[in-house]
Amino acid sequence: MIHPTAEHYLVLSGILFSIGLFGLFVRRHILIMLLCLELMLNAANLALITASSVHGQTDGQIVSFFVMVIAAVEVTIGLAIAVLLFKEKNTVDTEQTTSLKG
Amino acid sequence: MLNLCWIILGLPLAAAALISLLVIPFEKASKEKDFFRTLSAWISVLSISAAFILSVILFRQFQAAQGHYGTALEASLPWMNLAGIKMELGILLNPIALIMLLIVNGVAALVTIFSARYMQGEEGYSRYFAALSFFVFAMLGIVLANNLIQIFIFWELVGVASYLLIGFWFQKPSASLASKKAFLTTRVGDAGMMLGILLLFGILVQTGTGTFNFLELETKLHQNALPSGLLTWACIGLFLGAVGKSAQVPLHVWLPDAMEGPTPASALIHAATMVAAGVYMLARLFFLFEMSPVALQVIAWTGVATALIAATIAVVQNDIKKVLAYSTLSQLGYMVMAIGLHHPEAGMFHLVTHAFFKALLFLGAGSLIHALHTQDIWQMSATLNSQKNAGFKKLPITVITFLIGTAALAGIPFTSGFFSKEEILNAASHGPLAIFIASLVVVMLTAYYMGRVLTVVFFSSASKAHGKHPHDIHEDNALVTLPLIILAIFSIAAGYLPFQALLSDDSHAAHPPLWLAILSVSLAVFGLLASFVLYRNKTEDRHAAIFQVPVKIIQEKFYFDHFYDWFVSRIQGGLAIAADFFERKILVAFGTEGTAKLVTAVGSVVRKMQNGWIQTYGLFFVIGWIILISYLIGSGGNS
Repeated sequence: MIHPTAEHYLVLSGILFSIGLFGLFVRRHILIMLLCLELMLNAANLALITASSVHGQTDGQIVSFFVMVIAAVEVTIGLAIAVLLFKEKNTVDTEQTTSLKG
Repeated sequence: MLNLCWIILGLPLAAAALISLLVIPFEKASKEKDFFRTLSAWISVLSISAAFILSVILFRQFQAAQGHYGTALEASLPWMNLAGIKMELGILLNPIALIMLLIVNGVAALVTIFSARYMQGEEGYSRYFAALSFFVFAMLGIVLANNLIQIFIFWELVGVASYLLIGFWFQKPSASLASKKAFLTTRVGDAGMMLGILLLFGILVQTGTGTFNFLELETKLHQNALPSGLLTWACIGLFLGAVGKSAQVPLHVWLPDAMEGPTPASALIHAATMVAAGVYMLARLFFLFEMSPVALQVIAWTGVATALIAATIAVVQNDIKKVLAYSTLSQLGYMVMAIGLHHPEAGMFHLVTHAFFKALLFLGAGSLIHALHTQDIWQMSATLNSQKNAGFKKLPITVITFLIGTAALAGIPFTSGFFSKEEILNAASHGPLAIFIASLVVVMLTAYYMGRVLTVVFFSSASKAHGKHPHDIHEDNALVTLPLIILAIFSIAAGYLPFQALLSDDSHAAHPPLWLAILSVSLAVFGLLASFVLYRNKTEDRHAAIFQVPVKIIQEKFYFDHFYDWFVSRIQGGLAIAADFFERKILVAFGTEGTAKLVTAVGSVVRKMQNGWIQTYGLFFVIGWIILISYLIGSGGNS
C-alpha cells in the first residue's frame, strides 16, 4: 500500500486533464464534449486542492469552489445550447453543424 | 457703483431672453398676436431706457467720486484659472467707457422707441426687438470689457446680432446674402484680431507672465521694453479686428450691403454704435498702439483711404440709405485716422457727435422712406416735389431735423460735427501733408454728397408728377418724431461737451486754429453750393454726363466687390479644388479607403481559418495556450 503523495495527485490531475482534452478533440458528440470539459475542470480543481494542502493554505480550495460554480454555469448554458442545437438542426454531431464559417 | 454696471449689462440681456424665450412662443400659440408684439416692444424699450437712466446715474456718481482723467474702476468675476492664464469676466470703468455707455444706451433707447412705431405690422416684430436688445447687451459688453478675451467674445456677439438684424427680412434673397456677407467679411478681420491677441499674449509670456487684462497690460507695457517688431504685428492684428468691424478699406464692402436691414437697426448698429466699436477698441487700447509707430501709421493711412474712397462713392449713390452708409464709412475713416495720428480723444469726440447726427440722419431717412415708400432719392423727389415745398409742409419735423443732421455732418459751425471735425482736421494738419489734403477733400465731398441729397429730395421743384399724391404724405406720430427731435438737439449740443477734459489730462491741448475753421467751413459751403447749382430742379443724375470714365469707376465702387468675387471664385476656388483633390485622391484613397481595403484583403485570407468546426477552434485555443504557458515558464526561469 503506497501512501499517496502530492505528486500522485498532480499526475492524476494531469492524466484527467489530458483525457478531457483528447476527448474534446476526437469526439463529435456535443454532450460528450461537454463531459470532457467537466473532466478538465475537475482536473484543475484537483490540482488546486493539492497545491492548497501542500502549502497549508486555503486559497486553492476557495478557488476550487469558484471553479465548481463556473462549471455548473457552463454546463447549464452548454446543455441549453445542445438542446437548441438539436431542435434547430436535428443533430448533435459537430461535424454536421459548421454553418458559422468564414 | 460697479454693481450698477452689472445691472446695466444685464437689463438688455434679460429683455432679449424674456422676449425670445417667453413672449415669442406665447405669441406663436396665441391669436392675440398684437398684444404680444406690443409687449415685446415695451419690454425692450423699458429695459434699454432703464439701462440709460442707470448709466446717467453711474456717470454722476463716477464724476463725483473720481472726477478726473486716468482713474479707472475695475471689478471682475473669475472665469477660468489655468496655469499662467487667468480669464475673467470683468468691468473696467473709465471716462471713455462711461461716455460710450451713455451713447450706446441713449441712442439705443431712442432707436427702440422709433422702431416700436416704424416696425409695426412686421411679421417678426418681436424677433426684431429680441435681436435689438441682444445687440445692446453685446455692445455694452464690448464697452465695459476689462480684458481682451472678453472684448473678443462680445465682439463676435455684436457680429451675431448684426447678422440677425441685417437678415431680418430673410425671405428676401438680397437681405440674407447681405447678412452672410457682413458676417463673413467681419470674420476676416476678427481672425486677425484673434491672432493679434494671441501674439500679444505670447510676447508678454516671453517677458514674464502673460495677461489679457487691460490695466495689467498697461502696467506691463510701461515696465518692460517689448520686441517692437512682434508688437507691431500684434497691433496690426488687433487693428484688423477694427478694420472688419468698423468697415475700413479693404473690408468695408459689407457695410453698404448691410442697409438691407430695417432702417432703425441700420441707424443703431451700422451708423452709431457697432461700427464705432473698432474705433472705441483702438482708443481704449491706445496705450498699446502708442508703443508701435508703424502700426499707428498703418492705422492713419487706412483711415484716410477709407474716408476718401467712401466719400467719393457716396457722391454717385442714388439710394438715400446707401449715401448715408458710405458717409458712415467715410466718417469712421476720419475717426480711425485721428487715432492713427496720436489723437484718440479727437477720434472719440467725433465718434460721439457722429453717433448722434448719423443716427438722426438714418432715422430721418427712415421717416422719409416710411412716408414716401421709396429709398431712391429721385423717386422721393418726384413724389415730394410735385407740389411746391411739400416737404416742409407735410413733413416739417423730419425735414428740419434732417437738415440739422446734414449740417452737423457737413461741419457747419455751431453744430456738434463742426467741433469734432475741427479736432480731427487739427490732428491731420500736424500729420503728413497728403493726409491733411485728403481729409480736406473729404470735408468738401461730404458737404457735396449731402447737399446733393438735400437738393434733390427737398429743394427741387422739378416734378414728373407720378408716384404717391402728396396729400397722402404726412408726419408719423410722436414715437417717430420725438426721437428725431431729441437726436437733433444732441446733434447740436454734443459739440459743447468738455470732451478734452474728460478724456485727456493734457489740458493745454491746442485748440484748432481759426484759419483751419475758416478753410474747412468754406470748403463745406463750397461743396453744398456746388451740389445746389448742379442739382437744382434736376430729375436724374448728372455726374455720368459730366465726367464719364471716372464716374464709371466710382459707380462700380472702385471694383472692390469685383475683386473679391474674382478672388473667391478664382484663387479661393482654385485652392478649394486643390484641397478637394488632395482629400479625395490622396487622403481618402490611401488613408481611409486604403486602410479599409487592406483590412478586407487580409481578412479574405485569414477568414479561411474559420471553418465552422468547433474542434479546430479548440485546437487553436490550446496551441495558443501552450505557447503562452511555455513563454511564461521560460521567462519565469530566466528571471
